[in-house]
Amino acid sequence: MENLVVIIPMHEFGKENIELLNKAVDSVPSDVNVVLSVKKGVDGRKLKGISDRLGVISESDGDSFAELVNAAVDKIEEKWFSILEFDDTYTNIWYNNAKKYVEFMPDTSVFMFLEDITDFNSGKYVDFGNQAAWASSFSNELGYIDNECLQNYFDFYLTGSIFNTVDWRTIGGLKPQIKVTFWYEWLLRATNKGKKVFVIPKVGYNHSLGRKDSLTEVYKREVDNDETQWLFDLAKREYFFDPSVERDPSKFEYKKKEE
Amino acid sequence: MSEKDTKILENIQKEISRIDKKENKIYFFVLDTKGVPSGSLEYIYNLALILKNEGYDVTMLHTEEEFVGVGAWLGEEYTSLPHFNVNSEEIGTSPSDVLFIPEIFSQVMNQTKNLPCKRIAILQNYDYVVEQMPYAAQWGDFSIMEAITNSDYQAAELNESFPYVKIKKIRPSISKIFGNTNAPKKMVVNVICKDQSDIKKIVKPFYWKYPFFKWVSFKELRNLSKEEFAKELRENALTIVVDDTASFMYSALEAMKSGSITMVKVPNTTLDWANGEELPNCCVWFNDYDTLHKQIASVVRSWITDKIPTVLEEETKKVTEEMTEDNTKADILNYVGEVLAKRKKEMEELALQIKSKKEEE
Repeated sequence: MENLVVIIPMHEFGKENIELLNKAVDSVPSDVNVVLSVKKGVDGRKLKGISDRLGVISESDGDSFAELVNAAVDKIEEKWFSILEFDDTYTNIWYNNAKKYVEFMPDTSVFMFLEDITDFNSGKYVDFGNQAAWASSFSNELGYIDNECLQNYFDFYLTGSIFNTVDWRTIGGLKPQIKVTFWYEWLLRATNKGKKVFVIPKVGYNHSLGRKDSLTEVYKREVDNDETQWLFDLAKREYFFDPSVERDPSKFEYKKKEE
Repeated sequence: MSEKDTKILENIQKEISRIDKKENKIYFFVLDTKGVPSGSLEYIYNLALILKNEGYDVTMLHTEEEFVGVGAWLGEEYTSLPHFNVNSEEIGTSPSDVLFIPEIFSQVMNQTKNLPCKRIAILQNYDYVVEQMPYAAQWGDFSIMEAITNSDYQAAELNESFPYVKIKKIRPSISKIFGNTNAPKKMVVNVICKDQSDIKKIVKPFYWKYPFFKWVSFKELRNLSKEEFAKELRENALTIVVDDTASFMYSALEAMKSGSITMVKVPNTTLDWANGEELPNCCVWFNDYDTLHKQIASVVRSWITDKIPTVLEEETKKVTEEMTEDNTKADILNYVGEVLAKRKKEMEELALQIKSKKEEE
């Protein structure tokens, strides 16, 4: 597949993480370029031992996941890109299926994949990811995620997906002000703009959950159920606004309910 | 020559001329399934349409006041075949005519035994012969001495009971409408069950036993036109076929040819295309629902991870490559040609006998 690049956002370093990163890079087919997105001015010594295949994009002002992704997408020139978390891997059928579906459905903006979700620590299988798009009880059109069905279901993973770069730029990038639900907000915004989001019914991505310092685990420790609910409501309120629209920062601040 | 003999000779000549000009009638007796698709009925209609398209004068016979027919599911071109209700008016047959009678109509075989036309049974399911024939009768009693069939296995079964019946196999075909494309398939499981209650036995326990797969959607293929049916087979990844009494399993073959991974309940009868010591690997076989649920989970997992063995596709090709419309057409045209040539020869010999009788006198 011509014009595909894989972006790996990274804000955690250290020997173990570099090993995970290199494992992730190894899962990318050899004819696909891979770039690493890190914060501007990151100490080069932190990147010691990274795979030779990695081109480094270090333009982000911040090191949140959203900022790292946005900065990289701004810079790439390829028609399609995918985001790979450094502690995850693509399956060996990801690339072939990406090529096949992009060829048959060129007007689709986002190709998500079914994901195998495993526990990082035990390696045990936990569940599928993104399968709801193929459930007749969820989807208006099997395989597709639209704005209406997102109002009732939000548990989707977009890492591993193939994004059309032009459409991404039309939709606008991730909003760093929104924590936890930034992907959900992005999906709502994309579908609200009428972009086609399709889940390829093939397991293309191995998603590991439960690594101690991963974003999800940090959120799990820091964000309680009430705040999580508030964050989902926030995403539903904010997706009508493009990221370029200046918003009052206080709108993104969660105020804990008084006991 | 007596006036009677002259008249007979004239009639013989007339019948021979009708055969030569394809003015003789080819009748097919059919069951009205009231719009429900049936592979066996499709086989008969296909034969009829081939003959009609080759210039034969074909008529479909039935006994229904309100005949529904096959147009809705088989296509409009089949409704162009003339249909006639034999209960509303009697049809006149002559020696040059041919009447095909499906095995299920044993009563029709009996009622038509004195007609002058050539009568040929259509055998697709020996079980129907067993069900429908009276205890004390057999086909010979109804002067049925010839049959066509779609299956060597069915022929062998019938010949064990009625060894005197001469049977010719007319190879069945899978319509060109069924085929695979390169387009990616949907993760949907088609279900084709003769008995609707079987669907619940498949779907509900599958969800209970494998909640991980609760997102897998099932689609019952019932009351669809042939085009819609073919579209679902072509688009969806898996197809489950349950029909314990099927004699040929057309639906399973159509699903396989459409590239849908096909899971087939082993029927009570032996299938012509699956009669070896081992069942062919063109599809996934199952014997009961307990094993089926596990097999569905396994096949779905294999499909979403691109691990379906290529042998399925290879074996499907082997099984279905003979079942072409061209083969069916060649078989039925040769057969009817032979039947009519033989009929003509019999008439010519009869004419000669009459003439030689006159000369002797």
